[in-house]
Amino acid sequence: MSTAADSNAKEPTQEEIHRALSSMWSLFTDIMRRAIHIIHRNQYYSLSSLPHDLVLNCLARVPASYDPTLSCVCKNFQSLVLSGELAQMRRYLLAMKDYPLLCVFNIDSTRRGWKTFHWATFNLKEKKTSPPKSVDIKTTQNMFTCPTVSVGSKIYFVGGSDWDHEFSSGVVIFDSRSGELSKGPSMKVARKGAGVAVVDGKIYVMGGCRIGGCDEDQIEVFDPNTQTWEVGPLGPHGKITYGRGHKWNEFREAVALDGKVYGMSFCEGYHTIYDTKDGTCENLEISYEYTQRIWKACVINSLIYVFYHDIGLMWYDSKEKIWRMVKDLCYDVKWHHMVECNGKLALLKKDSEEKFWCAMIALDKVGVDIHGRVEWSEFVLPGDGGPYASWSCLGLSL
Amino acid sequence: MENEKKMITLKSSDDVTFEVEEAVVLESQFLSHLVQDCPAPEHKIKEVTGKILSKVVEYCEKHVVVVVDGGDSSSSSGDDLKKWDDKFIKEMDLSTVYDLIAAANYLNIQALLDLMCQRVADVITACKDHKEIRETLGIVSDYTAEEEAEVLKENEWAFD
Repeated sequence: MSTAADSNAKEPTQEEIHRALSSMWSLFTDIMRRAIHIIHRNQYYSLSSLPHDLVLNCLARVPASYDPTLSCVCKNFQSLVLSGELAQMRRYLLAMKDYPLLCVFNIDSTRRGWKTFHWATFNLKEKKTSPPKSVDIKTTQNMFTCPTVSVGSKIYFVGGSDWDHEFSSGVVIFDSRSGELSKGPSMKVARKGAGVAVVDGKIYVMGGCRIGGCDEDQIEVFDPNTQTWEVGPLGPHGKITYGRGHKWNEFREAVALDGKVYGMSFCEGYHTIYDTKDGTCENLEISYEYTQRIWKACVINSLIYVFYHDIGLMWYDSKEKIWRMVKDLCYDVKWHHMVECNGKLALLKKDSEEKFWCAMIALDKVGVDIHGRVEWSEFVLPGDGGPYASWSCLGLSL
Repeated sequence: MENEKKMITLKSSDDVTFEVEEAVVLESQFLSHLVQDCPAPEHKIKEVTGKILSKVVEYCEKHVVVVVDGGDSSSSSGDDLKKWDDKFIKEMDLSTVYDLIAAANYLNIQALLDLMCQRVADVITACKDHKEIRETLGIVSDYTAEEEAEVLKENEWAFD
């Protein structure tokens, strides 16, 4: 008759029983976990048993794209995501990390025929430029337009340039700490315009051999730790097929992503994705119009970005196999250099007064689009233009 | 003149002793203060077990700044150190990693803390979904069945 009696009489539904049991179970396991923790003093059996700030420290190193997955793990993780604590910790960790140096360099010939390597570094954390320096070049190798990569504090100039007729197996190493140039161990074969990229700390060199050169010479791998060259893996039947099935190739730009080297060539249908694990190759889709305009490429947060001159900055949507424009960026679309810096893009250019500028661009994913946002821009080199007429730029670690 | 190396004894919570050079102790901010402030020959570290302290000592001994002739540590030693770190973490189970995180935090050894936290993050990143994360990290879900269904739905855009 009374309402109290009514609710007492009501049978609990199966769902309610299940819910009560599962909450009791989680309470029980929690007590057990704490008990085990007390019995074995100083022993941690689960990540959640660590103090709050240490859990945060671990989770903040997981890429932000995992946040939805983390939210599903447990309530504690969900609240760290929702409260913004995780995002704050990520910013803190990033601020603590050593920022790289941008190394602006140029090779120039003087009237007497001597060649000189000019360089200056820009510290991205302190936004300070080191005094420009120069060093004489003693080799005959064309370091001017040959493929270059940086590993740690060193820059590697690998083989000949596609601008030349000369093939070269030579390697020149520039050490930014000592400021010295030295000759590195030579490759097995002479090349020009090879595709060069760094995978797991090793330098992969692809193609650029003489037409009709043998298959097994196509890929060479340099280990900077052991200072040795080895032959890289080749696909089925010990062969490599560039782009849409070509036996020979030269490259304009190359980048590495997920254990693969993406080589961008001069002709449509020659762009190649080479898998460093098994040597298999795929064609990389870049249209004829874009192929003509490839200028610089780099990888940021697992996406490939290419600066196409007269078009602008684009990124490769590997799912749809198309190139998409980076939105919201205002700049002239001429010759920019770009370098990856802690998940951001440093875009460098020389202005009409021959001064070098650097703009740091954050790339935010919004739906299917990437939006660019200029965080700051600074003078990198006052520059009188002289020694840096045809310049280049790479990122180095301190 | 050759400097005589000063030795320091560390004692774990379960009374395991470790004799180390002073330079090794200096890797830990906590221990360097302790050693400077109290000149006792032996230092008891109540918060860390022998098993974990042995790992800490192993790490610090390897990471003592190697100064070569030029006064600058060479880059190849930096590469070697990285290789050594990789091997060091790969041979370790996750509960040891948690203990080392707690110990590195307590002893204030930033590089070791970074290395271990990164290890946990790498393990999480390698998991394919939230269930695998729970299983691998030993986390018991505190979501009820309905709550879990809801949170999965909220975050479903992130899964393919």
